Amino acid sequence: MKEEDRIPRDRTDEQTVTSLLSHLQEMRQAVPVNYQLKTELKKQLLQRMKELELQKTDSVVVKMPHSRKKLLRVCAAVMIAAITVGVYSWWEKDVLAVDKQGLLTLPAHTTEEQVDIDPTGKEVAYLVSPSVIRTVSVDEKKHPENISLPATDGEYRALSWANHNEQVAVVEQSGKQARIWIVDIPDQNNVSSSRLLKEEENVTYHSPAWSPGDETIAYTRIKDGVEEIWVSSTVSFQEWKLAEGSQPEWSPDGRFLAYTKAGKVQVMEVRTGNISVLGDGKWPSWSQNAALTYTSPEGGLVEAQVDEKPFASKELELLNLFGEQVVRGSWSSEGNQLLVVHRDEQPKSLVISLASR
Amino acid sequence: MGMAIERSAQPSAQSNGDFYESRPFTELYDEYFDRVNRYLRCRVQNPWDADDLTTVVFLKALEKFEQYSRTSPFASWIFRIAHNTFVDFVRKNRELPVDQEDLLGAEQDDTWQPERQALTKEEIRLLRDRLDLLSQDQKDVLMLRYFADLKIAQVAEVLGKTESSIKMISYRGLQKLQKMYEKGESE
Repeated sequence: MKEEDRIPRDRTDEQTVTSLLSHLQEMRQAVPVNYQLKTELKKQLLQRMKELELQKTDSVVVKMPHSRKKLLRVCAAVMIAAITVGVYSWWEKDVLAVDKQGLLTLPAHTTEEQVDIDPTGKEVAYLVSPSVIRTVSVDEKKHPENISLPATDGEYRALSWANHNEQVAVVEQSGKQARIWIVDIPDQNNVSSSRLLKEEENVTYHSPAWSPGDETIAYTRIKDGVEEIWVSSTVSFQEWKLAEGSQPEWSPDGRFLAYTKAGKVQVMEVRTGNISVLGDGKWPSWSQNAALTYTSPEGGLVEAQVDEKPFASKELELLNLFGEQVVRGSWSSEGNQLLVVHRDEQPKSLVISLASR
Repeated sequence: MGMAIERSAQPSAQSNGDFYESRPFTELYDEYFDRVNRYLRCRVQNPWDADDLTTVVFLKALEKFEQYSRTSPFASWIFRIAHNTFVDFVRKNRELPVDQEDLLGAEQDDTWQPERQALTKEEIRLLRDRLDLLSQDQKDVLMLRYFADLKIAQVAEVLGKTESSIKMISYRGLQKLQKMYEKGESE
């Protein structure tokens, strides 16, 4: 269909339409224009044009860094991939990741036996002069808490967290008197209280260690320069000497007692009294029933399997703690966290970190 | 048939017969502001809304100016923005038909051009009422054609329809309007 057919028009129509269009045009002309807006909007647009121009310039300027960024991203991705492969291979060799590096930085005079980790690995307790235990939450969900110890003229030297009870054992040295205290950790229902477990003159005590069921505490007793390991019951007043040496540590199943003697780590099977020497080192700590970690003279961590003959030992890698000489590594009772102690020279301090597999 | 209203010449460069718009944005703004502002003032009830919409149209146009191909008339491009802005506005505000009282300004306003015509408000109101009785398509086409002063091809481009369809809509709209006038005159 032709357009002329679809849009029929005659002369009358055309005249009417012409006058209509004329009318519409008049009306259009009657509609006012806001010329003030026209001027103001032009200024606004010119300003915006300048801004856009600047943005353009900036984008040109940042173009080079952007390409560099891209290159860097690719490099980073390659490095991450390489590190991942490396980490994986190291993991196979047994690697511990230090995930809480520098959790605590304590004064240089603090010793490694004045710090301990709770059985679950969620809290760390340490001795604060003159007679306070401070507990800190590893995940920082709880505020640090102070637990007061019996007043002393001397000092508190060592601390050990019980395996099951909310208790810690602390060693006090006051003049010639050495004491072992059992301190209840306060909670919502109980206040803190202390009980004297053992007191002796002319000796020094060190490194208390709770037995797996918390029924006894082994400790180092030094008299006239001789280091011995003694055990005191926490429920009766029984006590007995177990071995010559220091730094006792019960295996989780209570089958073995690890300790150091003459700079060597030894393991005694409690039932038979058989003693095995693992190697040079100190501060043994059990991660599992038969897996013992200790600190080598070089400041590394060594793990030994004591149920294999000959003992299988391997060095543990500590990621993120390169070059630091570990003073002590102490596993939480559940074996999930390792409290790592090392010393910093600048500034002189004792640094506490946490590692896990 | 003299349907087309005389338009101002488009000062765009032509090369090899192909259209090419070479003017910078500021020049195009100077030329098209009046038409866009007037178009929107015809379409929305409140002149302040129309001015806001005009501002939005030109800010959008500036932001998107790089996307303007320059091989088609600027009028089609800017009125496509203006029409879409108006449609959005209507959707958001459920715009009521424009009141000519508001269109022309009930009170004296110094910002208005002295070009205000001597048309009586009554005449404009009448036309306005009649335009409002047209279909949406007819209204859009006639508004763009005679208030925005666009060519058939440009209206087609703005509304995304064919030229013949625009011609048909325009013709039927005018016919309807004409009948209304005839009927009105006989009444």
